[in-house]
Amino acid sequence: MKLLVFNGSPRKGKSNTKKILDHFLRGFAQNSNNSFEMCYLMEEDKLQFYLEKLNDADVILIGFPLYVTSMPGIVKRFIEKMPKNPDATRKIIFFIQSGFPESYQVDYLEHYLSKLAKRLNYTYSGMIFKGMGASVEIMPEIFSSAFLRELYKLGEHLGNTGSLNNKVINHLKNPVKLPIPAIVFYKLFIRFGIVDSFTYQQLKNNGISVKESLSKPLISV
Amino acid sequence: MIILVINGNDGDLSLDTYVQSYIELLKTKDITVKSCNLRELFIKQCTGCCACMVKTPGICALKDDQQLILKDYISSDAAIIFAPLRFGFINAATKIFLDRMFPLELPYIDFKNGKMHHKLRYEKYPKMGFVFRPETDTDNEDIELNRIYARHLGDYYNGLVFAKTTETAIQELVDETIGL
Repeated sequence: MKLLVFNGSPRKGKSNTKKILDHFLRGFAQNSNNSFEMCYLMEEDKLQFYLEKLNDADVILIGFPLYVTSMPGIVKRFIEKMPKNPDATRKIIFFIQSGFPESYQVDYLEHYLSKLAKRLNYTYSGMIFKGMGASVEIMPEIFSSAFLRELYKLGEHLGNTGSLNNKVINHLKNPVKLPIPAIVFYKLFIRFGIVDSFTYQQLKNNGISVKESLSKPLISV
Repeated sequence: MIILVINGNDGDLSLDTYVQSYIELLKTKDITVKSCNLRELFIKQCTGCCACMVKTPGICALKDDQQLILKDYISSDAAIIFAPLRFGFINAATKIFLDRMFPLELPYIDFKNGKMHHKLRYEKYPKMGFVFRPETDTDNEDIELNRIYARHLGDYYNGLVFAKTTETAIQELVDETIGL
């Protein structure tokens, strides 16, 4: 099986999208009959070249970080250039990772993407969503190792069966919304500076005080 | 009252004509209208570098026309965004612009209506209106999906008040805008 991956993160090779997808792809490539290739949509001068590859793959995967509950503009630009797929058995899957944890944000987007697949004449084969995607960058490995293992298994399952395991997808989507006790805890952690600790650290590294971080440069005083 | 009209059209000119009639009618009221055409501006894709959060707070690292629009945006009472739908969703040019509103947020996490969000940088944000131009194959479901996206965006920036289509009469659109 040949998988063509379009990475829609503006941060390309350094992206959390890539870091997470790598686990999925490692699982996929366990089966030695499988191969994959990753293309970066931020490389706009290569889009035409990428579009020409579409017909060589058995499965297309478009992965991206969530930018205000939707795909980044460059991903939308790519979608607008996609030709109608000549072979309706070719599959398309989507992978989305978001900074915030809740999957309610992408309910409508899943609906949109499944409709888009139909519009482009692909077989829609599912959307993988993972909240708190930035944990692979900013938190110790213990916070991400469990879900990264699930991503590996998803990839392995795709590689062996040609489809995604819906049980795992649904599990990764939790929480849809945060339950009230979790919000109470979060708010407590916010008050003690724990939730924003990575931000505070970055500000400190850049020599920016908390007061400066609150500045309002776009209004004239 | 200051209204900022953002025209995201990069397709056929019928949407421009619609936007122009809307602006003309607004101007006959006691309203200051500022307007821009995204296709005439140079706006790059947000690179997710977070400089506007932790390096140069509130200022984007990309030097292009976006900051001028954001300045107008934050000093307006309402911002009305016109976007053609393409492949069932607002077009790429409009989305690229919307991705670059990030400097209006703070790096700090908060909850609004039980949902995780960033705190906002400024005290006052304009009310936000969306007007979608349907495609030939647009159905009600497509419109609703774009409305949901607009509502999410409104949740981020304190402001969605309407999300309509260009099938709305200009007079009705102006009345709605003035009523904001």
